[in-house]
Amino acid sequence: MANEPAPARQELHAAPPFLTWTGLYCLVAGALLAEITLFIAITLAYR
Amino acid sequence: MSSLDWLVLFSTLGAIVAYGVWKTRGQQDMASYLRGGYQDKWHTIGLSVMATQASAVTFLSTPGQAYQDGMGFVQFYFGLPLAMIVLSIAFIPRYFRLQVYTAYEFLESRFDRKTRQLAAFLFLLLRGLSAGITIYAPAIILSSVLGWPLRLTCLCMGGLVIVYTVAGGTRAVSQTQKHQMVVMLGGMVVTFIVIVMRLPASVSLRNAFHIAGSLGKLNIIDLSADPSRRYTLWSGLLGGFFLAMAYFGTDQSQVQRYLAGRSITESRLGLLFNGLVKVPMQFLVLLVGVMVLVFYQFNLPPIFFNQPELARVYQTPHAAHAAALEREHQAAFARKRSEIERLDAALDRHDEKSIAAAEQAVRESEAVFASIRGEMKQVIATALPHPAIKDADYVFLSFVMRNLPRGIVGLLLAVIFCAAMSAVASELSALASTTVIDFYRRSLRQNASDAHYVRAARWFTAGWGVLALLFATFASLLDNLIQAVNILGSLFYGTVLGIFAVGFFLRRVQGTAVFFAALLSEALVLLLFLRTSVGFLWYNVVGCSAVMLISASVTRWPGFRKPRSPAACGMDTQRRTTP
Repeated sequence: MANEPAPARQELHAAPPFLTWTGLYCLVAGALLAEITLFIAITLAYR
Repeated sequence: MSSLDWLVLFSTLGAIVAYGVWKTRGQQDMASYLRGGYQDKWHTIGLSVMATQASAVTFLSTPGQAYQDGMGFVQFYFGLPLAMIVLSIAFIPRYFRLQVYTAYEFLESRFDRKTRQLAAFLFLLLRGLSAGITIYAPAIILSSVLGWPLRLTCLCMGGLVIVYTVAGGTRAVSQTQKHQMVVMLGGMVVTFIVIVMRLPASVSLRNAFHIAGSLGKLNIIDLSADPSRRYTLWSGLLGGFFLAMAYFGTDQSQVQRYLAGRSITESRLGLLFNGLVKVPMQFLVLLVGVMVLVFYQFNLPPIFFNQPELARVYQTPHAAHAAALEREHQAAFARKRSEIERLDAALDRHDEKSIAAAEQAVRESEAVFASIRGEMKQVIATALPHPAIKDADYVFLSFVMRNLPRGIVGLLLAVIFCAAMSAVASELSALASTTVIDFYRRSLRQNASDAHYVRAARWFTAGWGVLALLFATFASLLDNLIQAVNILGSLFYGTVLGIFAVGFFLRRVQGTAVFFAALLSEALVLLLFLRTSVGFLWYNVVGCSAVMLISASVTRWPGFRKPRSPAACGMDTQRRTTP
């Protein structure tokens, strides 16, 4: 393993530069949900 | 190709490679060469992760797949965003805390050396094979369509990659990939716009979607619970999740990308960016294929997209039959086009009855059209000694060469070359890192200087590159090889992920138990592969779950259990200093 010092404990819990981690995870999961909904709508509309 | 296309192609590739080499000049230590000096920001990591996954085959084959089978393949990526979230929460902090160069170092810290080197060996085997395929698969298509010699095409792509990967290591890979990914995304957006603009003026985008739907190509979501169906919503979400966990969490070619992050925050953001952008990007690539199909409803497509293969038929006694089929194909196209124009007109009038009648006529004429194409494939299969009758991979490049304007052709070829080079560069860099860190430094030369290991890493990068080139240059069983590599990957990924998952989440399980569980689980996956028709995405779920369940169960048996002590409870308290 590398010889550099391990990151400080606070870095492990550092907040993201925008939103919060929970907010970002919800954003990614929500985008997936919206995409699946859109794809279902396209499948039904153009079958 | 016009001189403008050549200019666009070579200036794009040259500028990206030159920038990568210039940006990473003068690197001396291992942290710089193998981990990129911890300098990458989230957008570099995100684009680099995407570029590593997107090989040239993604841009050559995916539109062709949509052209022939519709857009259901996008479901394959549904598990990816969820995997990015879990990796950000569970994997990245632990890798960073241990300051590892490779993912497999974690396994020795958590279990033992044999588990680490087993996983590293499996990676070298699978990735070593696929590096050759990553060069060879696009080279055979490009050489066929462009008329270049196959070996020269392999050498051009592979040689350029070896030069900048050896020179700049991981950081050169990330820096070039960032720009390569921008070219790839930009190229596909431009292509989509150009195709839509080249449709007849009367055909709106909405009507284009309707025509594609009438031909059964907008069947994006499949809710079937049949496990033998390859791409469904459920296999995409669950199987795709496990596959993405294995690929992004345990495959060094991906782990190396986010280990180069400036901080944990940057690495996490990079993966989340990938989770946000990947599905729309694949949707766009597939949609380009569907729009090519719509374009070919108004413009005569080739009867067979691998034109050099078709030309060989005309050198045989079957030439007359082929020519007759081509004439029949043209007549069938004229009939189909008139039905499509009727449908387009009915759509503009919003006349539901006429739309339904026109759709039925379109489907019937499409069936006739497809049967003529099928007959031509049979002629090719009969006429040629080693026929390549699958032409889906040639659809997109054939379309680009025949129909896109000057300059855009060069840009699209740059996209394909960028995709091939970015994927190969990651693979070579990861293969070299794993060889140096998990085998050379661990078992052969434990206490050499940083400079020595950097030199060794350069040699191993060049060595793996030459090996991949040799494999690509002399490979001649394309279909079988690609299939073999894909099957090998899916057979082992689930088990490897299971070993990591036990390491992360089942803290009482020790090395011997997980090793035993991995062997049993692998046997189970092989049994599924040999004796059932279960889709390959499910192998990842079964392999990973079996390792976790079996190792947790056997840990209760005497001989697999160790007394509970801080040292036996996992990596957080077990700070060994493995070399």
